[in-house]
Amino acid sequence: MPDCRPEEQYRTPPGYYDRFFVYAYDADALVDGLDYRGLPVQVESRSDFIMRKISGGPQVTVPVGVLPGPPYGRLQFYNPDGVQVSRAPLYSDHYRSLAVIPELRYPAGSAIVFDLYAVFRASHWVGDDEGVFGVTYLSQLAFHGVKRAQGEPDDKSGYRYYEKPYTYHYQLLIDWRAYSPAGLFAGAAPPHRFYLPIDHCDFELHQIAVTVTGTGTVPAIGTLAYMMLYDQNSRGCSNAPLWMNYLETNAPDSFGNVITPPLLYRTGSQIMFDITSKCLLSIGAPDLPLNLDIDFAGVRRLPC
Amino acid sequence: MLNSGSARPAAPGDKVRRGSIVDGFQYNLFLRNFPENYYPLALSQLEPFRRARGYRPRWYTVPDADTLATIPPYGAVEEQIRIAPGSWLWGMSVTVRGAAFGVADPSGVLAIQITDGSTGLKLFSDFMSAGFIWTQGWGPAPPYLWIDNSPYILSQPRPIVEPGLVNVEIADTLGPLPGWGIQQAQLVLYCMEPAIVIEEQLTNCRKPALLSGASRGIG
Repeated sequence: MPDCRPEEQYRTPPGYYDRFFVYAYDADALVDGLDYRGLPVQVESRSDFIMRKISGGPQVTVPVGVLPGPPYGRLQFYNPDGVQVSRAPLYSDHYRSLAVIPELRYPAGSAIVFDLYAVFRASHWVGDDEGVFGVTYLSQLAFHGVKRAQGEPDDKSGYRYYEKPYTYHYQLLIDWRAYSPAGLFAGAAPPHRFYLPIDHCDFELHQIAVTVTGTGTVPAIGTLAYMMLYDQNSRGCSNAPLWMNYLETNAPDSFGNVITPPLLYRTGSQIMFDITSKCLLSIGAPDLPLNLDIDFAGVRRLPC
Repeated sequence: MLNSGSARPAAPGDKVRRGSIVDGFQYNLFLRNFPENYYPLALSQLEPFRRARGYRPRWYTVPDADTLATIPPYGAVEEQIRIAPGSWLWGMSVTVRGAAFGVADPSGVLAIQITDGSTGLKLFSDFMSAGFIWTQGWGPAPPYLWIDNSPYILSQPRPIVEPGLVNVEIADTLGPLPGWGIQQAQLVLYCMEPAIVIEEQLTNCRKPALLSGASRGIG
């Protein structure tokens, strides 16, 4: 057996701390049908990245069988030494939510490198009220894991406490579309920022659940929004806004996304997040307004 | 549920991270205490593997090519793959399509058997339906696909011993289905192999660059 005991719980090496982080690769700029080799996602230069899960293969390529014929999308990943992880590219179906065992450590300043064959970006098309067809892309690969850096984790409370489950609820109304109000070709609309103040006592965020309510519709492609989550020190938890399906604990294809290690928000801080709309304003099947109930679930550290 | 109702006081400076990750697949801390479910139990078997030192992930595809394997009607595709001795096999998944239509449900059509070439032991007592390890399940609406139970996790990881030969058979048991056509598939075996193998591969790759050194007796 590998060099560790089965009953031993996962521990971060002494002198280091882990922080929940997701590296994302946006394939919006790629061209459908082409092959790309050596695509990089740059790892930030101050901390290593421990990769534990890859998701989103079908978002950037054609899953097997969706179209009448090939070519179907394939992906090939390279480990930090530059060696291919699989002996032949895997069809993208295998990458819906694929664990990386054992975890891979990408040193600070290195890059997560992969090949994409037969790119096909997941997109949402509707007729726009301006009489043209609009499209938003939800083509993103996500590499889930933690950032590991030297130092002490910032997850201590300055008082004795016990934990009780608690959920902060946020009703989000997305009433702006993906493109700027100036029109379809005027560029993407900027993200909107939201705050959720933490009161009474410290709060550990464990998971995010999203429910669609109200009049908005969600196409089968998934939630039409990207989220950028920040920790209590306003540091981003991803290198780019993430498709919400990669953060939701109840998203299909995800096997349950959970914030691990949990994020601590101290009293007086706030859960800050940016929302980027991927909605289009159409006449037939309106995306807008999109009402989302977002539950930030975890535990409160009650003083004792 | 983890931490639910927990009343254990924690002192400031407590370094025990009770919320640390239990599994590498779902990150789902809440699965830990579901002893009646197969999946979290299988995941717990993999916990020591996730942070195993000296190992690297390695995924083996069948066929060993950038294509899907075409399974002849009532026939089988057999392939012997060489896995680095000392590796551990922990899971597998298969993607399938019907040549004539597209997504094909392999349940009851394709069957898989894996045999350890060194010991002659089979992984399954008989051919197992590929439906159990299929990456695609029928969704209620377009794009009609969602993940079912992939990757399929072995109840206990299996060691691969010398010489590291594994025989894989993918068989068609029903012949071409009306409308679906001949089945095509790619099977993936998820392993972790000793990192030393990769080091050897790297060394071999670097040999041309070291030729001048070899002439001086370094290589």
